[in-house]
Amino acid sequence: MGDVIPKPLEVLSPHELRNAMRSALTDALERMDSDEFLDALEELTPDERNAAAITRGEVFRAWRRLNNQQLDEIREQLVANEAELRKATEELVEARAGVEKVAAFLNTANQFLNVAARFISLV
Amino acid sequence: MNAMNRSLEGRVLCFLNLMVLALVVALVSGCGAARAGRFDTFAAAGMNYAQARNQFLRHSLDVNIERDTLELRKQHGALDGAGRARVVTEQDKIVQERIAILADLERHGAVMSQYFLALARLASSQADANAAAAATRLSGELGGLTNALGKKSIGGNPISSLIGQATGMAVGGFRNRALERHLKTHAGTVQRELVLEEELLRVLTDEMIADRKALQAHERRTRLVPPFRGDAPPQEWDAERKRFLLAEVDLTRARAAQDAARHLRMVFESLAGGADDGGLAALQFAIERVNEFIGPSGK
Repeated sequence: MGDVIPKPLEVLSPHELRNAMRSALTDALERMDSDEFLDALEELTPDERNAAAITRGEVFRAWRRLNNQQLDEIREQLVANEAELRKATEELVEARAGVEKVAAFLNTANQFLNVAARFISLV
Repeated sequence: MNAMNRSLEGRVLCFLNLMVLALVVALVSGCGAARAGRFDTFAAAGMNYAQARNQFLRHSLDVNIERDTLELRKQHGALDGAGRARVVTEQDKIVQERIAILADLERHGAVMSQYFLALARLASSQADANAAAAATRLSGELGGLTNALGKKSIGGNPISSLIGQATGMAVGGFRNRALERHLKTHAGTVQRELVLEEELLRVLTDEMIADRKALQAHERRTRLVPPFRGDAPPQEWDAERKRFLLAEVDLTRARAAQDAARHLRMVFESLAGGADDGGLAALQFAIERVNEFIGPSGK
């Protein structure tokens, strides 16, 4: 199996583009935690290290915002599904009540016949 | 009085005939009882999932805030007072947005839990057993009313036990038809719910793993590497190193919640499609792993 060729950015849907950006930012932040990157950082001047720290903060916030955006969309879709899910729940409760009515009817008939049996044995 | 007894006996025998007919009907309509039992197990797993998933959401927020605070500390030395005020305000806002999203998702988890509870109650065979017991008692009373009925049997089985079985199965058939109606009307809604759940936990898990990696990398860089750069690392350094390396392995356990959500969807799709099992054991195992993860070792 050959490697999957990534699609060019121009043809990605907004959803795919955001996923690609999230993935790229996740990788970038992870690389910034590697020994190689941090060792290289120690060789830089204080101003360059500060600039790198500020850039890291910006990358981090952009990454978090993308994650929040995606979770917010999922939340919206789950909330949109909620009315249907509640309706399904109500119908299950009603169906269960129907099953219980059958059992309740039999119990009532049982009690009635219990009384009838005692009455007949008396006569 | 004899005429009254004969009339009563006639009615009792008529009732008996109806019950025998019910036995035949129940034998035909109660065929899906085993499947309903699977839904019972699935619904119980769904309730466990909903509970574990909400704990996972809270745990993800803890890790999220720890990482956020670490990132603020990393920028602190590079910024002046105004810059620090700006980034802490920005990051607080992002975390507060996350808290609001997770609060909504947790509330939604309660709606999902209610659904699984209602499904478990319908799919449970307890009502069938209660009805069967009631019918057995009922036919026992009928047998007491008339000698003819008391002596009757079908295939060597006392009529009272057959009536009990028939009634239990008739109730089971009623329950199965209700379940079928439910699936026909709402399977799409439930499937959409579970697909979204799976996506939710995938996004959260990816982020949580990245957060934990960053927290561990920082701890390693500040606590494990400096002593080794010195002349001789202290004795406890060996155990510390082992702990760090094993923590890397532990990260894979964070996938448990995502796995559980995937299994929940797959089992529902299999059961709704008519399969008998659909991987219930794998689902239950996946939920156990989530509980282990969010237990003391996962926090």
